[in-house]
Amino acid sequence: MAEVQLQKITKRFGRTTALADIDLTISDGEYLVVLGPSGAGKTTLLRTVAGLLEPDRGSVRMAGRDVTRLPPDEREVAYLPQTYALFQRMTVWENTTFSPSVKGWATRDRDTLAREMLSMVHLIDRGESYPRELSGGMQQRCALARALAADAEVLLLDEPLRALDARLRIELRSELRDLIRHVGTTTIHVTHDQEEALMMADRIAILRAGKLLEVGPTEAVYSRPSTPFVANFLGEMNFFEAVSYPAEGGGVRLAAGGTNLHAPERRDLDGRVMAGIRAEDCGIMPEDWRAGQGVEGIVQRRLFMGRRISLEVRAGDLGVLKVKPLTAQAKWAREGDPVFVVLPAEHILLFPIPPGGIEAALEVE
Amino acid sequence: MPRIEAVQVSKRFGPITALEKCDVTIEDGEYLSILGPSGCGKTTLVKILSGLWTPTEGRVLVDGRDVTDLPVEDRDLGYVFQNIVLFPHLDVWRNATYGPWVHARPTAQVDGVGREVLELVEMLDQRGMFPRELSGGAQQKVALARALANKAKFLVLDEPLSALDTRVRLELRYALRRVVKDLGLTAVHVTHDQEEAMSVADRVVVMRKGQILESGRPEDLYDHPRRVFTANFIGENNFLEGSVRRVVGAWAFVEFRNGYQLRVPSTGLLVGDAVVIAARPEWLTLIKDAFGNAIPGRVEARRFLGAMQRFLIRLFTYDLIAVDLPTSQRLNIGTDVIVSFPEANILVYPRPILGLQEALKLE
Repeated sequence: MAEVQLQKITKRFGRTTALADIDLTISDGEYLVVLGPSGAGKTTLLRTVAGLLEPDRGSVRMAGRDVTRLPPDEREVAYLPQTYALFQRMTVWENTTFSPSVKGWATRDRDTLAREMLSMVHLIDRGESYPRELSGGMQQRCALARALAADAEVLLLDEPLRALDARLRIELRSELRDLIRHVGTTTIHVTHDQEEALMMADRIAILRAGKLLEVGPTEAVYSRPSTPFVANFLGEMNFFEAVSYPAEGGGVRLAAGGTNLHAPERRDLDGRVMAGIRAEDCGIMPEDWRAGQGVEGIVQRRLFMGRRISLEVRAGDLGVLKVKPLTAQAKWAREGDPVFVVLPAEHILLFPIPPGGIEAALEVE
Repeated sequence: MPRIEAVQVSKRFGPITALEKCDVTIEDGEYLSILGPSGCGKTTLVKILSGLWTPTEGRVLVDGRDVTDLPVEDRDLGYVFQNIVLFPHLDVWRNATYGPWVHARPTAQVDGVGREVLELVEMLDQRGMFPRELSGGAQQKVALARALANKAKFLVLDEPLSALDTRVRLELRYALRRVVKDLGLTAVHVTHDQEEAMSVADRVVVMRKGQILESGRPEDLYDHPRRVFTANFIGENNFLEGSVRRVVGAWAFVEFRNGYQLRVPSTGLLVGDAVVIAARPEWLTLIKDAFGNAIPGRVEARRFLGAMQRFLIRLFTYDLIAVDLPTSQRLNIGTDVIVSFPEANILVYPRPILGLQEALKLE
């Protein structure tokens, strides 16, 4: 097991800067998820750690040793690319034992390790199968068993669940996380899927256009994001401009047009602010109930999503609010219904007004 | 506006049966989604419905007329594929109006249709751009516009959103449904994504291993799935195996390991029946005392879900279940808790003959 340190990593392809001055430390045994939209530089980052790409500037250290100029096979890393890259002419067993064999392990040790890894990924009875005979989910698990059997100190996972069916993806999230926690390998996992990131990460790093925007423990980044982009990328946000005043008894009072709301204090901000609240943190009730703070509005769109209902509510001064309550709490709501949208003070986030406007601050591409 | 019907269609490839005696009807003006895991036969079924493939057995009817042997080009339908298929050297306008242009419609008519369909997908402003200048989501909108430009009344959407990033996918769902409803089309939409199926469609057909398991309105399928596979495939669920101890009126008492019991709705259950009960993580709550429909357990792990948190709780029946609670609730690992099962919501199924795991398998 090993700590991984990236220091001032910069990588350019022609005129494009794929990674700009990345400083990032992943502790021994930690599971870090790098989250960002397509083209943010996530795969480049992984390939740099793996040794498949050499950075233009900066260094990569593993367990204190500078490995920047070392080829991939001299680094203690296992890299699982998006496409799995299983050996098609080898069976599941041969794929899994490949790496220990190459390293010259004794047959008995090798077999014990391979059996253990294949049992963990529930493929022990498919050892004789070839990759083409397996479903997508099985191939993914086989690739994972092979990566784990390499017994590397660092595991690099590039969108490991992307090619799978939606439902299987949900199931494998927990399995994969438990498995790696059990083995204790230092892991860097990149994905564009925020739910996957939140559920699996010890710490989360947000990458956008080659820049590292924020790194921190998952819950801290989720509940106190530093920028509107980070907030929105971790869960669909509503933003509205407001003027903030200190409120009696702590916190601030926000005035947005004729709407007045309470919010937690942010010492560094006063006057005009960009306020935001996640769609999942907004509540909804019939218009004549109104409890707590919020705004009146009319439901414009309704989409049933199973566990939650996704609503768009036209709410006067605050514009169109996206509201995603649990289905049990909002089954009654129909398009055209007058409603009261609850905006709990503790879930309101405040940011400085972005200089280029909120649209540009949120842009993913 | 057509009504499309497949009657007892089967499709075999050599020794492999991809589709086994499927019956499905898409009503006039209905948006139907076909949902299932990879390899379940959903793509085969839609290719037969659209005429790209002929079934080995069975018939396809459009408004009661047998079209089984009618090739796809003679059918009145628009097709949108998973892999975005646009002409790279044509701009948005020429891509969208390709159909009417090839059919040598009068210029005024081509212009009218082009405007109409590009306005519908909100791409008229980008009419001069080329596919490579557009994001994946925008390209798929143009592909949709092109399918609509043929003025077909039956729209076939074959995993239309699967190649796109999560965020874009969410945005396009609503656009798809709106366009289909605004134009009053009959549509069939194939997907493996249960949330997508539920949010776009009037009705969802669930498939597994070449067969149709059940179909229903999205909210009914979520709240009252008739098959145990559906209960797991759509949304998430906790399953407990037990046997019926007593039946009292509309309720049955099911006993689990260690003698714990839950009261569940009884629909024709008999004492001694082996059953599986299911309850979704967001339906469960923690209560202070053991009165009520509850089983005690101990918190084993916690997972962060963003707006909610998930506790994995080992019940004293030895079953490990997931309970989703608001993030405001504090609970330490190792704490003893009592999990309350809302009796009216609990789903009850006969225990599958080949075992629960086999019945839930996704692949």
